[in-house]
Amino acid sequence: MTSGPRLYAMVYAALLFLLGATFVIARVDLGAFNTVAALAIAWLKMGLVVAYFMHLRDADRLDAMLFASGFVMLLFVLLALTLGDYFGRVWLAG
Amino acid sequence: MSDARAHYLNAGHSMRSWLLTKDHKRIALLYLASVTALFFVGGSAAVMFRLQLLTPHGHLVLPETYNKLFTLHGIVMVFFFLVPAVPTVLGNFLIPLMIGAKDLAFPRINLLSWYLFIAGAALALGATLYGGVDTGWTFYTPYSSVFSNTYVVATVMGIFVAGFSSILTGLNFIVTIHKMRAPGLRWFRLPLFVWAIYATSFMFVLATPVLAMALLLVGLERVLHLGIFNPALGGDPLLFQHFFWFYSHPAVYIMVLPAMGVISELIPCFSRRRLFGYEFVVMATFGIAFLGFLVWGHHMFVSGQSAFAGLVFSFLSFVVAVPSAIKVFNWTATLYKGRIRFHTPMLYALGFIGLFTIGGLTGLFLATLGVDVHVHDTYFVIAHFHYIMVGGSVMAYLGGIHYWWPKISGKMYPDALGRWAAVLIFVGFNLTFFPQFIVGYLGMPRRFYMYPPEFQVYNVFSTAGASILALGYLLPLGYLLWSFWYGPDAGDNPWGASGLEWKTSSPPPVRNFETKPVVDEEPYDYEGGRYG
Repeated sequence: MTSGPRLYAMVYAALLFLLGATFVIARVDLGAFNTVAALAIAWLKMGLVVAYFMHLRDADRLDAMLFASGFVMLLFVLLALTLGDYFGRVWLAG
Repeated sequence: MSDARAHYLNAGHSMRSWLLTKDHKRIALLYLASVTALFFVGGSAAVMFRLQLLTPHGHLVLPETYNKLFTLHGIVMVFFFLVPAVPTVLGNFLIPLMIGAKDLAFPRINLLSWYLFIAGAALALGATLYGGVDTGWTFYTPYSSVFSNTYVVATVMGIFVAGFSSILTGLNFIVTIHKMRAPGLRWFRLPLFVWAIYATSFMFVLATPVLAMALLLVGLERVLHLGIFNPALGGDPLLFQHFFWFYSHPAVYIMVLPAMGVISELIPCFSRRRLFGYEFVVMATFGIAFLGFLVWGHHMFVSGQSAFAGLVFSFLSFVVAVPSAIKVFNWTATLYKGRIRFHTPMLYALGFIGLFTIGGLTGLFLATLGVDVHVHDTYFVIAHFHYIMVGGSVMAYLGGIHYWWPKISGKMYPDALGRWAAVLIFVGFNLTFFPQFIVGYLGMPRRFYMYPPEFQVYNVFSTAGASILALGYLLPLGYLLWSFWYGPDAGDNPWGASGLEWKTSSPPPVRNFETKPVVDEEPYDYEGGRYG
């Protein structure tokens, strides 16, 4: 299996490729799928950075737990409750 | 320091041996000196505006200066005293000792954290010397990002830098507690102070980056005119409040959880009983840490947040009272039928329970949507959070300093003087802040430099109380410093306390323990006959 500088170079190349994909997708109108496509590419990039550059791929349970808790906090708590305010302004105006 | 025995205090006397130390105990003392100095900076600002408020049309300072004074007080006290105080001073000193380790997992990062803290404080205070900042410690947009003509960017950068000190300290504690516990020290044998610091560390790591990001965005909007929070540029001012309170409400628990950890050590020791419901207190600690992340919207009930979000945040805020109450009931149940000894630390602990309960219950008033509309942004809010932060966190911090001072310095302070100071602080605190509940309920808004004459009597009480409080805080500074050089030797375990930190000598040797400790007892085993 590839490892060391070669692996990092490959991951870096993949990230650059995905950056290019973000750029291209932004110039194509996919209608409702604009956001979906942009977010999907962003997730892929994040996954690569976290797994390889942040070494979560071969990390122990403590690191995985820290990462998971940060992820839950940001995504489900910060985003969900903040959006609850923004969407809720229409539901219960007052 | 005349004794010949080698310990961390006499391991080197040069400036270099302190400023480049990697010993967690010395770094704790560096933090102790820094946060104490900052506490008195923040306190001085409070003295100035309390004097201004002595009369309805006080002419001591200009209105602009008044705004800068309460901003300075808030920023210094929250970001540079209350958040770091217990974790960096007591946590740094005690975590390795309590788990039987020779240092933290990353000693160099620990020193780096102190330097980051100092750099952040220097930036923020430097901005004050240049002319200060007038946004309030909350930096609400668009005032902070567009209109304020003061040193906002330098101040938020100071807090940004100090935030990394918090994050690194939290990481250091998490790894240390996971990896470096002594043989036999299972998770459910850990002292509750360690549990509290562990839960707080997660909050440091998870919440602080959001504040750093929010403040950075304020800076970017100010400097580059990006439209993030400014409605004129398509931004949303309420978004800042979401980001800010996503950190700053958990920050309240960052301030109070370690304080609760201290109280959970003091109550069993001075009641000579095992802490009632140890496992429940551990679970309540994590309950508070988690729920603390879900309640930030209660700061925005009248800010234009949707009524739906208001309902959700109101309910969640009530829920967080449950684990807090579990702790108060457990401490009280520990006292029941205990052999209570009223030494100085215990007076602070008992004061904490009473004041924290008042602060917590008045928090429920504020979590109630309808009541909050009436008392929002009044002195009722000021009184409420000072009961939590000063009545809670500062009392516990001082209780902890008095409890572990014999371990830190190897010396004993005059206990009678200590008890007087504790009583003085308790009386001064209540005289300062209880009238603010009343005057707030009657409608006096916060952050105004003048007020209608009918509110004067309450403000006179407050200012009188503040001067008693100031004296109360100066006393421990005096006698603790005196005892450091001239106090009688304390012995290794003057309180007859359980816990590994008391099993090594006072002051501890550089490597903490002569032989690696092995733990074979349950925590707080005061009734097992081992501790008299």
